[in-house]
Amino acid sequence: MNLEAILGVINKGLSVLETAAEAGNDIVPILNIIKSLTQQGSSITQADLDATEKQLDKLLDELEAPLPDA
Amino acid sequence: MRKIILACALALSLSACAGNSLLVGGPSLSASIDNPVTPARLNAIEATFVGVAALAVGYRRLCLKGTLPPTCRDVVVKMSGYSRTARPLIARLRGYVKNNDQVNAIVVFQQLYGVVTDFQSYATTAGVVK
Repeated sequence: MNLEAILGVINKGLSVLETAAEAGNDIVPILNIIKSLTQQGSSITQADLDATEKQLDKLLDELEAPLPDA
Repeated sequence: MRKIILACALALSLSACAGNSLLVGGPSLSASIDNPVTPARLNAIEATFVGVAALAVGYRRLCLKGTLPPTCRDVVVKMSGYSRTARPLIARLRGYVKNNDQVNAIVVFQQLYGVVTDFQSYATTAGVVK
């Protein structure tokens, strides 16, 4: 599976999350990043890179945070 | 001597990826191994990871809210493992692209690509992606 195919799966999954607003509204802007990615082509600015990096680091921080006791 | 070692390393990495879609040419995001890891390709793989991580974070939040079955905690732990594996690779890839160190950038790109596909595949299997 190539990155484009993965993006297709992710788009679908994120759309589900977007509908299930319980997951948090800050998921929604990520949809826009994914959508814009396919339109950017090779014209990437440093601001694009910085925005993606910042978003990714933030998500990984939350994903790696210890789980509270059940 | 150094050039020979670098050439061998590149040849090994290429042969290791035979059959992988990274070897498919063309203008797609899975561009040929002959293509350099440009800032655009770096952004593409990072944005893809953003998407998978966003799914995982959304799932984690629902899990912590008690919306999902208790077994969701195991899924969250497993997904955090992909994140921990990817993070140092991402940091290294950013550095290599910044310095235009293509030999190392291509190798790390392949490794990160593997993590992304494994992560996405697991998320699908575990029901994170419906």
